[in-house]
Amino acid sequence: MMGSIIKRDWQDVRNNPGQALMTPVFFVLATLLFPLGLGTDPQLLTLAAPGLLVIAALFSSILPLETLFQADREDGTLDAILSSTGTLTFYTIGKLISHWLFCGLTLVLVAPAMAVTLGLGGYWLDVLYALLPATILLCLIGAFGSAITLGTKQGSILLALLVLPLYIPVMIFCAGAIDMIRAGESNFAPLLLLWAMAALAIPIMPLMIAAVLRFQIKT
Amino acid sequence: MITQFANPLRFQKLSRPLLWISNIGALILSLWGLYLALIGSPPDYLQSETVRIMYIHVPAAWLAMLCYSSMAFAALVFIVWKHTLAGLYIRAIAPVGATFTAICLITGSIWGYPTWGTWWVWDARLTSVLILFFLYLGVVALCDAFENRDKSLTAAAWLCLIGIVNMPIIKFSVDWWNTLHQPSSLSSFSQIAQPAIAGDMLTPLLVMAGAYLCLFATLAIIRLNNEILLRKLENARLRESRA
Repeated sequence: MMGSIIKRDWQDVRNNPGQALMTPVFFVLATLLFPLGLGTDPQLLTLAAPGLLVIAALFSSILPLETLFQADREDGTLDAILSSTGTLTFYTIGKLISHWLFCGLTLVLVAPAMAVTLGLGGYWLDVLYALLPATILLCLIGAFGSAITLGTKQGSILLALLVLPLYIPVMIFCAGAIDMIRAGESNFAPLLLLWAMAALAIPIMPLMIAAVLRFQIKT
Repeated sequence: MITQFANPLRFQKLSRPLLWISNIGALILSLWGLYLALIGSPPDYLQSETVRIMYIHVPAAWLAMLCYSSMAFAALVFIVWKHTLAGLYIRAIAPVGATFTAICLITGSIWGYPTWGTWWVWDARLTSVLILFFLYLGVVALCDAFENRDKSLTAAAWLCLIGIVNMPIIKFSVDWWNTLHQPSSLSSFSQIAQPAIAGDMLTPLLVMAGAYLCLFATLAIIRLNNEILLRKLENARLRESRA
């Protein structure tokens, strides 16, 4: 079940790469816009870079949320899975894994290059380490917001209102982890906190998202 | 036990005398508390008169957290046992909680300027209460998001449950992060017996907390009754249009 969902999503990405890889592309564009807006002073950019990278990651990870479960709801995939297997849990886990692979992992992989353009070249590995747990959390929280606003009238604005406040802790600790390394300190504490939040969210969130999708389908 | 009180009719009957008690309590306690807070208590030796903001600020913060905790409990009841009254409670209380949070944030900001020298800092306590405010706004928005009213309530209930992780963060933020906001002076019952604040400041604070609590009870009962009436009206309209 999980494998077939991931395989199907991978085929979607191959058929329509522009749509699926919107997140990393937007992330790259947004990061490249910051130096143009802030001025190209290398010192200022290095100081602002941790926050800028995380903010860009945050906004780009909101983009795919509105359509995350929409197609599966409209073409009846969710109904079919629920009525044939009785549970949406495995579908949700598969969907979350493919969502993180295409919108989270791709973002983590392009982030070091963006760190170089913002003058954090020496710390590209630390940027990668900090964004790895952060993108997992962003994907899980975002998918919850996507599930709960599925089929609402307001759509994306409601989604942003719900998801952005929940993103704040992730943003604080991720930017903190990069910033502490840049300032020459140990970033062990914020990294541990990020992984602790991820360790809490990974088992709980898929179950909650599956439960939310279930009531969305049933009512 | 819970199922008995979950009956809307029984709630309407029981809430009528309670409403009187809480209404009169709110009136008396707020007059008494405001007198004690503004005239009857001494100015602080460090903060002088600005300390009086505390009597508005601190109970508002307590009530903001109480509203959210009770909403999360109602959310659990609504999701597990599907009692409509619990769902309507979320809908009724979310704007009240949002207002208490806004009062807490605004008075805190007014208090912060003379004492800290700034209207706002990104301190852990302030940030987590701001997140609480946005959570309330999210719940209010979700309560009207779907065409189906029960579906809206269920979505709001799930958000309430997720947002409960913010509660311990608010409570312990002053202990975990050593930033600008001062630690709690009344965090446990042993501290109420031997409080870290002087008695002639503690009394008005507790009286004001009682006044806020009565105000909350009054608003909760009135709003919940209104929600029940609205729901009945909508059901009657639905039946009429079908017939």
